[in-house]
Amino acid sequence: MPTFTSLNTALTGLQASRLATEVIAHNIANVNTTGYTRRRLLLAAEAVGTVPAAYSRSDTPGHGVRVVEVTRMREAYLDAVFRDATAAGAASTALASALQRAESVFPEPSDDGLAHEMAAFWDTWASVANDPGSLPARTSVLEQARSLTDGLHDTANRLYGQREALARSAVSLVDRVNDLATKVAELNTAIQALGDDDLGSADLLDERDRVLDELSELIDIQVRTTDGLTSVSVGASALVAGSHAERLAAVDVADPALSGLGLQRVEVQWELSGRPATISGGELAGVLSAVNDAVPDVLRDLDAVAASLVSTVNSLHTAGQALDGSTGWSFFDPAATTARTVVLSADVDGVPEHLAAATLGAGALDAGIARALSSAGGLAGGPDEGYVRLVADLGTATASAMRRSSTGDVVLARAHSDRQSLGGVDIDEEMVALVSAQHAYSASARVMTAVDEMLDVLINRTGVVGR
Amino acid sequence: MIQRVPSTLLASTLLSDLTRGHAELAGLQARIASGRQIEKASDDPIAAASALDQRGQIRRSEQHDRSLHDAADWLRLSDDALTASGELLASARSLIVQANNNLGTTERESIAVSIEGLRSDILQLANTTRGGRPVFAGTAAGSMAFDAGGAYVGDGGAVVRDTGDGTSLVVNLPGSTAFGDLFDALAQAASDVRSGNPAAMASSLVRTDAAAQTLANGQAVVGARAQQAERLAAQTGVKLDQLRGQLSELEDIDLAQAIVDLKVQEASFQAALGVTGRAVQPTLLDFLR
Repeated sequence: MPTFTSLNTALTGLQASRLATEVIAHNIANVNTTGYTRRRLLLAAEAVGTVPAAYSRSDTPGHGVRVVEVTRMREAYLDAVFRDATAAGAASTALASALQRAESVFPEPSDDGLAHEMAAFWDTWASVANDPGSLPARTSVLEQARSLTDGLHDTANRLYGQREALARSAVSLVDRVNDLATKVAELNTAIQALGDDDLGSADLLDERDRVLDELSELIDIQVRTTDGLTSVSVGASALVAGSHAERLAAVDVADPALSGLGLQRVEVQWELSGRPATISGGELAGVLSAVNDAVPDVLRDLDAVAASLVSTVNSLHTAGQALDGSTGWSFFDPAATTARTVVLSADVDGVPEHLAAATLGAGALDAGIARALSSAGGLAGGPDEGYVRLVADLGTATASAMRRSSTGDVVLARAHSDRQSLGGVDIDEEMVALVSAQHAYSASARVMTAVDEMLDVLINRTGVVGR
Repeated sequence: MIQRVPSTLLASTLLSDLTRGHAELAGLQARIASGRQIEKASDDPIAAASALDQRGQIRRSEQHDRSLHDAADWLRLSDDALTASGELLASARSLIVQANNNLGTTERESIAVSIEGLRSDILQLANTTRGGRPVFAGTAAGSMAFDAGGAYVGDGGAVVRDTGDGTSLVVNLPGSTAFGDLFDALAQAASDVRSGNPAAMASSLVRTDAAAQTLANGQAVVGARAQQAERLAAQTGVKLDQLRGQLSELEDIDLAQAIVDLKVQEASFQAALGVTGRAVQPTLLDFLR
């Protein structure tokens, strides 16, 4: 048994304790770092002879301690659950906030919304019905009609503006997806160069996981890691394979369902092949569903209200007779039947005498048509009913999207806490480990001192009897 | 197995709980401040839709209320004109009776002039206008129901006011129906009185009586409708109150309930703050030398 073995054994103890302190220091320094995974030092006893052989005999109990690895406390399954929850939550949150914004265009129920404008319009017809010969009453019908059409234009334009902004945000989201995919590919390269069992690569691995988390907020991804290389796929196609990243692009494509609104579908495609990408989660999915479905649905309903307003009023009005006995005047321009375009017809604009308040063939001051128009607000299938349905439908869609979004938050919080509970840094725990490492260090040092003293006795005080 | 609760997890959980509590508190406060239960349709889509319907109904009832007041006004004017005409016609009748009493030419002439004067007074009443529109002219345009000669220049059109969803009330009586041949009869009577022919005067008296009957009939019709308008106005008022009450139930908050909710939420928020204060602070560091 060599004399200095125990000194060396004590040294491995000192080194292991120092490394443990370093790991603890790193953990504590990063206690609030997003995406940081706590590390744990895995130690093993240094065995004497690892290969049993004939005549090989050991006369020491062991050679001290050996560092096996610094483990990142992470589990691929928990990551996958977290990323799925992130993608699903981000999609419903994006849709919910788009719907909330669309809803804010309809301040109902109140005295400021289109329902009020519409009711006020029918009211002005009631004034004409009570006093068909009065030009001021007739003029107020035209004024209120203008205020109503302005309201419809304004509402529709704001919705179109919101959709435009959403389409722009889809483009910038796709840009960010491309950036992050490139980053994952670069990190793959760096990790491969370093080797994934290198102590320093742990921070790169953390960074890659953090980028993947960020990516899953934008788009739903499947992640697979083999030999330290992470491949990311979207739908069934690869976004990142090794050190290579594909690119996505947001493109406007013609769609018969949207052409009626003068819009184009925003589609995310693979830049290289031009094939559409399948995106079913993440903020991008929420924005796409708002831009291609939810907001256009509201616009379609609003156009239907405008069309119903034009047809309801015109069908009564053209059949009526004006103050001067002339007939056949349209009230609204029959060619403009969308919310953005609905407008008074040139027949009556500025000519209040042309309002056809009287039933055809009745006296000049008859008010049959004006009366019918004054009560058109209560018509089944009329514009008011259509508008109430629009508001109720939008409200229901918004409420359910908000509910889905908050459910998503709960699921995400659960997944987050599961992951944090494995990989989060706990100060108490680190303190305990620090105290242990400190003690272990002192003890190893004491062992060294003891051996030193023993050698001192052997070298300096042995064989000096009688000197 | 004991679940690890790292300090970061504890902090983020506490923070999100606090944020949620704060958001709920803010929502309740906003609700109480505005006094409204439905700020936007998504707060309660079904209630919002009924509130919109209710508002439409209220608007229409208000319309009917205005129309009914207009109708009552119109009918009152007609009624007043017919009543006054009836009184004037009665004086004309007694003048005719008087003239038939073997009077001299001069006296008959002055009675004839009086009858003509009464006729033109009634003619003026028959041309009563409301806002420039003669009430007895039906739906015809023009400023008169009867021309200077007493001929009817209006039409038989009905002036109608909507009094409810699908119900309406005719508020006018065309002059031809209300006054019949009153003006011809009085003109004839004046000339008969001048001529002094007793038989002719007697037949004029009969015609005048017939005209008085026509007036009375018209008055009865107008009176009945005026009553109906008043009754309907009262009903509409009650209906409006009911509708407004229902709308308020849908849209407005129950203040007592909301304040209790707010207090409960405040208490639990305070508790959450207290817990956070205690849970975040201590670590092992506080106890190590």
